[in-house]
Amino acid sequence: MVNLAVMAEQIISFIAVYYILSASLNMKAGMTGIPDFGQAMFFAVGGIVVGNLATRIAAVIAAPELGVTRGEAWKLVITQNTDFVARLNEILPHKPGLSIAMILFSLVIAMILGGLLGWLASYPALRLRGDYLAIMLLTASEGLRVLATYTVSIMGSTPTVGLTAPNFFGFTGNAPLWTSVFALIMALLTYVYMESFHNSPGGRLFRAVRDDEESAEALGKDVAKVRRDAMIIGSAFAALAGVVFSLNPWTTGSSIAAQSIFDRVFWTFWPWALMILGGMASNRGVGLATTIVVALLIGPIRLYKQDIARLFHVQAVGIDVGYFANALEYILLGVLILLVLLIRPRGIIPEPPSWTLKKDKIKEIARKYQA
Amino acid sequence: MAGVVLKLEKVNAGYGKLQTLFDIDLEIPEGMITVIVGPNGAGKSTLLKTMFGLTTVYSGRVLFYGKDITRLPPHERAKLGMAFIFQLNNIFAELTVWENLKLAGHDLPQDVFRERVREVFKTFPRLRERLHQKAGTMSGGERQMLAMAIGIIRKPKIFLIDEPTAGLAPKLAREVLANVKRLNEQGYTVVLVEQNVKAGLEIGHKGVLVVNGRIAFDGPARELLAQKDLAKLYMGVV
Amino acid sequence: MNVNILMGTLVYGSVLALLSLGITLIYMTTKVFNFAHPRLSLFGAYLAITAMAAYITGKGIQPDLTVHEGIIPYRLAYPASVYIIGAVVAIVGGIIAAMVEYYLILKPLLDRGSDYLQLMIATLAYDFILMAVLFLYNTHVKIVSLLNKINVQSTSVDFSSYDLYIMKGYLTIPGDALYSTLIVLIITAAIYILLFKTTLGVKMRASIENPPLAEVLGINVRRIYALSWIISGATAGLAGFFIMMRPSVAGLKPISATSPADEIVVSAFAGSIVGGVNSIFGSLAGGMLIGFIEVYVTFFIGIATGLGAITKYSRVISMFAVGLFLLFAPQGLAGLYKKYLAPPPAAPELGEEEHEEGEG
Repeated sequence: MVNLAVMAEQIISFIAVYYILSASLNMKAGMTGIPDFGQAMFFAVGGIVVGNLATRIAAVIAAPELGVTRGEAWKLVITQNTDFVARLNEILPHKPGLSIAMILFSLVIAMILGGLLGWLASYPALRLRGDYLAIMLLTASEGLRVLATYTVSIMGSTPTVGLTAPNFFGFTGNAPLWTSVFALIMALLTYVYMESFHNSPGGRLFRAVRDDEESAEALGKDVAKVRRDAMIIGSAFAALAGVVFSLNPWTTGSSIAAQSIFDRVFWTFWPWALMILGGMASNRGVGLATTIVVALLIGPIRLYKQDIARLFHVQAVGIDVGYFANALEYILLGVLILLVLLIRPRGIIPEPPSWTLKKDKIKEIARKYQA
Repeated sequence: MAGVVLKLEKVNAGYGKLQTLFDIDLEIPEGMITVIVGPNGAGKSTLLKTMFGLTTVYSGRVLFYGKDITRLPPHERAKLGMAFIFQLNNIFAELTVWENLKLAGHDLPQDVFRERVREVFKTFPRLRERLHQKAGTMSGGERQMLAMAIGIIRKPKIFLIDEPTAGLAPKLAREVLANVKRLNEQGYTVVLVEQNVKAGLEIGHKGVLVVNGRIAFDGPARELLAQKDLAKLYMGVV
Repeated sequence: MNVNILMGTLVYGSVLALLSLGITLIYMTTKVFNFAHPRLSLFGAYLAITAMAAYITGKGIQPDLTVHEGIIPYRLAYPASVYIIGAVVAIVGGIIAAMVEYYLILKPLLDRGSDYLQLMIATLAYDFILMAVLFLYNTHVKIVSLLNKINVQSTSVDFSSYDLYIMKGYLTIPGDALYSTLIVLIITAAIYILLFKTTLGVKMRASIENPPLAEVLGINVRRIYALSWIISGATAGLAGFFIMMRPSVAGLKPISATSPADEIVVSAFAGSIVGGVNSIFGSLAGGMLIGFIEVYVTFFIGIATGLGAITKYSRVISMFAVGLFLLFAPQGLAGLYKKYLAPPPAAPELGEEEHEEGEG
């Protein structure tokens, strides 16, 4: 029987990760018009900070209890990743202070590094436009993926397995539950930030630059700075999503692997799909789309995919229903995106105007002019 | 009474969801130059493009020699005998003059093609000198000439010409309009959208004024030109 | 050892040249970067493998891997029919996958006036769907085992079923290197003839340069686009056929639903961009060039600097190439050629013009 609590935790975790990531993309692409098809690399920064940097620092701090010197601890996290981190994970639940510190550290450092990478990526974004920029960012992401996968000091010696995930939530006694709560909080904070930003002068500026760069320049706005800021802030949030992902056993499983955190299908394509489905530049739309799609996919569709698959009667052609069900998930997603593009390209909740003044004030002003 | 080449009946059209033409009723007479004028954005280019099938028609009919072509795509209308000369990018700049002409006659039998080329050289002798020059390197006026020549090769029944003098110096503009007149003297029906009201109406037989997507005047060009209230009509203040 | 690398480079370079050609062709006509392009190759490869394996087992054909003495002009391990079936099926498969993408997805979006973003995402979505289809196929029909059935290695001599055996000195040239390079050369020539010596070719060039004007002249531009998609799909399928024959080159993993399509995406786009995204011959050259750089150059750098492992980073080099070219030479090598090396166009004679106008 299905454990509802477990399912709820899973759904919330995934919704949170995808929302933060999609909202980040929404800021860069939806609001500022930067076609960031390299979103995965910023997400991966979060994963690397958690799996590599934070774990190493935790090991160094806990070195005495692990029976190694601090210098050795730093290296052992990589060279003997599975065993050493397993030992670390055993003692982490007894060290709430260290764990919480590492969680905070991950958040802060990942956002800084994500922002830094975004800043670097903004340089091509200043010179290139449109599909050229999109391809540039995509290849950058893929290039970094290859680089990270084969650089042992970053992602460990086995590319397919990657690094063992650290157990920073072990001290709570119920890591799956509390990481899900943590994820939810992060998502809500992101939502609040995005909503307020959308309606702020900054938000309007971003969108003005997206709509008409030349006019914005003519009005004295530093367009280059705007694009740079969008890349920095947006990418920082993408890295945040990566951290939330890597800390959560539901989403990341037991290891953080290069091929998973740099995966362009999950962390670039899906956010694009969700953003388009929700409505570009529409924060609420993105939130709604993410919630619905992820909940559906992880909830009913995953549960009932066998039954849905059976409806297609593929056994008749000799195709195994189980495999078909798995592939069906992917096919459905792809078809969904195409349908949205064909039928309702503006998304579920198209971009809302920003309410700079309250509605009543606006009505009052309008009334004055009708006289 | 001249025959009617094109007829628009109660046409409502625009681009995608944006409607720019409202309730258009218009007849284009055979063998004459019909000049369409109007303020910017009024819809004169849209009107021309609608005749060729480059816009979305919401309702109404477009008839070509009595045949309903409203749903016909542009390349089919080209085959029926309509030639459209764009304002910009109206030649293949990367190809030579000769290649442009050859392309224009791509589906013609050899002897017919040769005959048409002879006609082109008769109307525009200057092109003969530029035959192996890359089209994009010619002057603005010569490019317009080539654009019209491309049309001649296809021996259309009607020329739709979109603002041919836009961006050209007055001397050059006069030359282009003179070429349009030469074209018409060869017997071609011409619909001309022209920015320059005076110069345009001077060479035209029939004048059409489009304001805010509607036809404000439809009659002899001379009459339109003589209108004392022409400026007012232009501004839409009637 | 060197020769082996060179052979691998030829195959890889040819594969990339074909893929880059397909990508460029689509970009020139439909104005979109088709992310699904490498996956089209994979689709073709899957079908080819299935067909070849079925044919071999059905007819009970055994590969002839014995080493003969004496003068024999040339001999392939399998009868030619096997290879021809494989190549044809791969091509047809590529065309089918490409046609589906064009007619069901991109053409409707184009007619709707979609912008480049929506088109790009549509190609990503199609890539995704195709991958799922291949994944499904793979679970049902184990592609790798079929491939191993076809690609038999002889134990006595280092000679596999694709190799071309020439002459008495046991000289073997890897068949795939020879044929792939040859075919790319033939295709290059064929495309040149098509574009510059036929009426259809002139129409294609016109449709690419100025679609509205081409339409005005009665050219069915949509049909020309369809033709370019067919060519793109065909070359993709053919590339898949060659990939399948030698998957171990340039770090390409053996065939599955995801590889080597995912691995090769960056390199294929690099070939297209470096060569010149608006130049057909540029893309062919660019693809070959990237192939050479990735395999040969990294190999030599590895030896020279002693960092043997650098071949793994070959794809990062392609990424740099893409970045550099996009930022500084966006029209690729072809663009640079036009700017700096090609003869300048004849200047218009202005003096004559003024003189004539004075008389008028």
